[in-house]
Amino acid sequence: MTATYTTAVEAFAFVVFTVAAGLFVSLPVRDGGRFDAVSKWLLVAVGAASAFASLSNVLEHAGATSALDPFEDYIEILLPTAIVYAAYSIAFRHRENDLFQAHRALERSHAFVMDLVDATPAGIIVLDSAGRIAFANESARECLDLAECEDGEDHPAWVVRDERYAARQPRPDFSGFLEGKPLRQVPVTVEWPSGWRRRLSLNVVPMEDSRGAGGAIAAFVDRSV
Amino acid sequence: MYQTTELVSLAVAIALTPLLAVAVWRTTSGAGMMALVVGYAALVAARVLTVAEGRPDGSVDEWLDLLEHASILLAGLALCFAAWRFRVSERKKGPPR
Repeated sequence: MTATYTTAVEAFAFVVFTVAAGLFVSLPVRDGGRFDAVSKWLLVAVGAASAFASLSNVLEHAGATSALDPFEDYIEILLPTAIVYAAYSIAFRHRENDLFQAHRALERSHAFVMDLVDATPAGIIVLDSAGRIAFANESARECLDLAECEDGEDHPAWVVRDERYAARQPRPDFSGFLEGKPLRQVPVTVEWPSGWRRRLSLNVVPMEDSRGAGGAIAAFVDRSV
Repeated sequence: MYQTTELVSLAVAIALTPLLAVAVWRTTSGAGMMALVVGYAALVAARVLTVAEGRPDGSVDEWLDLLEHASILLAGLALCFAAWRFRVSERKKGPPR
């Protein structure tokens, strides 16, 4: 009596596993999706192998043949491994998608800040730990004659004078303003070899780079006019 | 009596259970993953029943055998549900990034 039920249950299981395998086959694999080819085809294999095991059981219980039984045993050993591998593959894909989204958000945020920095009429420069200009926005490039200089290249031969200290010698860079503390509205004069000058009002915010060395972000407005 | 392959199958399934739990935990679950876990649990239960149904004289307890196959059917239904849920959620996500 129970043998009939068992055969019926296994026959139903065969149909269900076959449908599951078919559904897994139709899973879309695409960028940003939850499945890569590995997880998809592993799940298809799980469904197909289970269907095969059920078919083997049906044939065995119906008294048709038990020749498939040894294969069924090996399939039963491999099934848990395939399911766990597929689940891990899905988990890693999930993590990868999260990282990609975070990276894109960071890129968008960076582009927004760069647009903001370039749009502002104030000059903004990033100074390295030696006081050299590591980055300048459009206004700073224009004001300090850096338009033709790439980042990190030498600037025109101007010197910077800190008007707070009349006795201090002018410097060929902004190192005099790396005091390790914020500075506000410092009067500065930039002098070109030709004698031409620009008077700036400078704000400085110290920062640390990835190595812990102290550089600074400086913003200025031109007070010459 | 149960066979060596059935014991190995059960041992493998139990040994991999923590790995599956970690994978599901890292995926922030979802109905599809939960169904996959249910299917896995049903398969492990079927393996346990396979080992339990064997008698010392070599015969098989028929009711436990039926229960084992019902467990396999449950695994199939869970897998089917997981496949359907995965399919629906993947199609809902829209065009590729």
